[in-house]
Parts: sequence; C-alpha cells; structure tokens
Amino acid sequence: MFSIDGITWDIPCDITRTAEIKASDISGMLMDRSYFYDVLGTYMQYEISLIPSPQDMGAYYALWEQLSAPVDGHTFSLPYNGSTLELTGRVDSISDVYVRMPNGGAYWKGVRFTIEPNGPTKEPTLDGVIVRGRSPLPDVVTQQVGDTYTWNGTDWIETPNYDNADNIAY
Amino acid sequence: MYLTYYWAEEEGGEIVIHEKNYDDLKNPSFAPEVDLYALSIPVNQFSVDIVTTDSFSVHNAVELYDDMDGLWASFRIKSADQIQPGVVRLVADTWIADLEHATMDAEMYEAEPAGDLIDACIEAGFPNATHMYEIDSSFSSATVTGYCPEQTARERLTWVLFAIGGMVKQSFADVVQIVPIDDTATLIPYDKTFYRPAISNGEWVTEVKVTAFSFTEASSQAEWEADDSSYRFPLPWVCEEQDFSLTNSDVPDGVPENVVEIGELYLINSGNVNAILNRMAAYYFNRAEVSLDCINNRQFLPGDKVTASMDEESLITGYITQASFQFGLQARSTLKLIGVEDITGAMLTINYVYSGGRIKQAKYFLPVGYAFSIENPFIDRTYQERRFIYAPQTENATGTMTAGGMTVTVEYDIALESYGGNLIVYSVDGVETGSGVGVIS
Repeated sequence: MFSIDGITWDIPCDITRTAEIKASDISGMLMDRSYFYDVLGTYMQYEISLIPSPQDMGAYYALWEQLSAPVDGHTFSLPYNGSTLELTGRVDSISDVYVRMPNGGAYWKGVRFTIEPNGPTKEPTLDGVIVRGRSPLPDVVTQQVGDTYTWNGTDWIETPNYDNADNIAY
Repeated sequence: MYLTYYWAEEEGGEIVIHEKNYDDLKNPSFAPEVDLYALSIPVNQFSVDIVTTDSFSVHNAVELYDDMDGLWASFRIKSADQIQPGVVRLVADTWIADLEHATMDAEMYEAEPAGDLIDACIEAGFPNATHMYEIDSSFSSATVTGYCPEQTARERLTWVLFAIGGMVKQSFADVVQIVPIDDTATLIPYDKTFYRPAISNGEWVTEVKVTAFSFTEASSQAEWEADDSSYRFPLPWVCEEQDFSLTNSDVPDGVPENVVEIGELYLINSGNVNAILNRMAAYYFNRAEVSLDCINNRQFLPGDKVTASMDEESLITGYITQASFQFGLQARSTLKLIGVEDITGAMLTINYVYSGGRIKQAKYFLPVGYAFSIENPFIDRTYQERRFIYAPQTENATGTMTAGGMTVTVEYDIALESYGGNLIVYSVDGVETGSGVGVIS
C-alpha cells in the first residue's frame, strides 16, 4: 500500500527500494591516495510494479491517469522499515502492457514506474563533517565508565552495571 | 549555502532595514583575489542563481554564508537578472569598484599618516564610510611622503598601498580589510590537498628597478622653472630623482635581460624604496607559480601565505593570490600561489598505540622547523566481530619538526566496545557524542 498526493492505493504490487549515496562534483583523489567523497545525502529511489486485479481495473485506470499527469512532482507515502517514508519526487515515465485474449477479451498488466526523489532523505551536516570529523559515537547522554547499552534495533538502551570479581565492568 | 538580502523601507517616518534568507541557490561562482604587491586592487565578486520570484534592488547589500553561518562575502548587488521564470541570477561585488568614479585632486604629502590618506581615498567615494573598512593597526605609524597627481580614488589608494606594503582583502569578513603582507605560513595538510598540484615557471626577471623621488620647495619661481622635472609638479615643488635596483642573483648565465621597472610613482622615496624593492623581488624573482586544489572551508584565503606538498617528498611555500571555489557540502578551491619557494621538509610518523600495539599510523611531510599540532583522531577498528572505538589520551600530537624526520607515539584507550548487540563504555573523557547510533551495531 502506498499513497500519491494523499490518495491511497491498496493494489497488489512489488516495490524495489534503492538507497543511493550521492557525492558532489568536488570529490576527488587526495595526495595521500585516499578518495575524498563530498557526500551530499542519501536518495531513496522506489520502483513499483503493480499487479492489478482484472476485477478492479477502475482503480488501475485512475492510478495511470494520476501518474501520467504532466506535473513536475508528486508527494508519496511509501513503505519504509516498518513505517512509511514521506517523499517528494517525480515520475519520469510509466509503462504497461496491453494483452489481447483469443476470446476477444483484453486487459492491461504490468504497469511499472520509478519514483526519483527530489531531495535526499538523509543529509550530513557541514559541522558534522568538519567540526566533529571523527567516528560517530552513540548518543548516550549519561555515559559513565562501565555503562553498558543494548541495541534494540532503534536505540541503545542502557542496561544495569554489574562488576565481576576483578572489579572491571563488562 | 544561503544568501541574506537586505533592503530598507520607510515605515512611519523611519527607515527600517529588512533582511531575508534564500537557501535555494544554484551555480555559485566565487573566485576572490588580492594583489599582494598592490599594483592594482582587483574587485571581488560572486554570482549565484536563486530559485525565487522575488525581485532584488541593485546596490543593496547581500551576504553569502555557508551552512555553519560562516561568512564568505558581504557585497552589494551589481545585477539581478531573471534568467528563467522563477530563477534570478544575482551578481554582487565590493564597493572598491566605485572608487573608480571618484576623482581626487593633486596633492603633495609630507609624512602624511597612511591611515588618514586611506580614509581620504575611501571617503572620496563613500562619505561617512568608516564602518565599511578596517585598517590594520600595524599601519598606525606608517606615513606617506610624495606627490600624487589628479587621479581616481582607486588609483590613489593603489599608490598608497604600494608605498606602505598593504593589500586589500575584500571577502570572508563583513568589512574590507587593509592589511600588511603576513609572512606566517599555514600548512595545507597533505590529506586535504587534491592530487596533484601543478607548477609553472614564468620568464626570468633579471632585475627590478624603481625611481625614488625627493621633493623640496624652490626658493623662487625662477628656480622652480629651471628644474627639469618641474612641469610635473606644482609650484613651489622641485624634484630630484634617483634610480634604485635589485639584481636577481639566481639567473643563469645567458638569460636575456628582463627588467621590471616602476617609474613615476611619486610616493617612492628614500625611506621606503628598499622595502619596495624587496617586496618586488619576492614577487618577480620567484618566477614559479603553483596551482593546487584543496578542501577549503575558508581556511586558506587570498593573501595568506601557505605551505603545501607538491608530492610525497617536496614542499613549497607561497602566497595565495586567488582562490576559485567549487561548492558541494564542503568547498573545494583551486589556489593560485605566487612568490613560490622550495622549502626543506622531513617525514613525521605518528604511531597510534593501544597497550603497546600499533592500531594506526599516519605520515606527514612537514617543513623542517615547523611547530606541528595535529589532532589525534578517534580510531575505529573491528577485531573478531568486536568493534572498538579508541580514544586518544591527548588531544593533539605536538612538536617541532627536525631535519631527517621524527616519530611520535600517541597512547590510546578503548572508549567503546560493541559486540553482539551490546555496547560497553570504558572511557568517556573527551568523547564527543553524536547521533550516529546506527554505526555501532
């Protein structure tokens, strides 16, 4: 399920997601032979293939009309890691296949389109790359020597300290 | 980057200054420059395309900032053209160009304070402009002696700066700065320099020559009329001229004579002629020019003296006359260096050590005698599926570079360890926390 410009489409589909980390043109090889990537951000591209139900071609036609509108962009709500991602992007082209049956019946199938994001979903900050300039550390605001944390997939959760016989925190 | 535009409106009988920020910028172009030897005062400018339907008034102030609120330029709008619907191409420059439109009368100066004379040049173009520029305090005792014919305020300012050894910095500050040439060199790190700098050699200059002028008052009109050069100078001044020169001792045999001569700049006198010749020699006798690209987030600016690596085993030093910037998240600049000289370097090896074992090594080729202070990085290593972040015990590796090279050892502690979804904090002193929680998992 996804939505375009606030209209939700509950149509069977395959969604392929690509995260592209783009760097600017100022990137290049440095004298120490390392490569300087001036990362601008992470751009999420979605490719969607619909599997329309022959019984509900009305929704399919409506989606086709919406996607083929001559506009420079849409707002999308797309599946993202158990949640949704709000994305502004454009659809450069859409395609599908018209199938003519021997008995005279016909239907459209296999519509496919790609959403090109207008901007990055994740952006580094200038002070982050210049001032900090060092390995990111977890945002554990009450750090003390010996604290331990457990990664629950979203956050580091502090766990109680305990010392063993040699008095070293593990 | 973003741009701040200022405009004034009359509201209730008062003038109110408004400002608005624009961050949808495209195609920024910015290549500030200085003339280190004040033979001219180049005008700095930038251009940028702004995605907006707003209109801009020519001559209003604009400021260009990076995303850390660092000021790159505080200029005036020179032109603002709509290049397509919803896009304005804005070109802005400094007010220095307008000094060209102000004329200053001929004047004889006798130990005139240089600051007063600079004030007069700028006031000729912009009355009550003291908030628009700063004169470095080192010029407070500098004086100017000699004659200036009727000329534009920009030319007068050029003469004065040539006489006292000043230059005009127009970018990276909210005022124009008039400063002396600074001989303190800043190192452009090897790992901030793009592969690879280029050097070009101009023609040999075999000699620099200037004429110094000495003015005295004629005792009578007859004496004034008898003076050969009196046609150039108003009554009662008569002039004696004396040529001074420096010869380039580095020129190989057989190189044809090529003399650079400054004549008829009447602010050159016996008091400043040696300093002027030395500055000219530093420029014209070092015929090498270097072009190098580096990551430059406002650290290396026109007018600065820098040291840079040409390759793994050679260093040069020189003055930045122009920095042509390209912008991404960070900024990259192509620097043009003049007055370039080779300097002796040696290899600094820094061993980053934890519990007697080396976890990282870095090498820097630095000038001999250079007092280095290199930030010790946090080091991220994974061993047998355990990830460690090591924290340095000291913030910087410091010392003075010795001939033949030297090695420095920096001790580390484990700051953090993560394995199997667990994270242990061992040492937090000096640790700067961030939001990169996804990195350790």
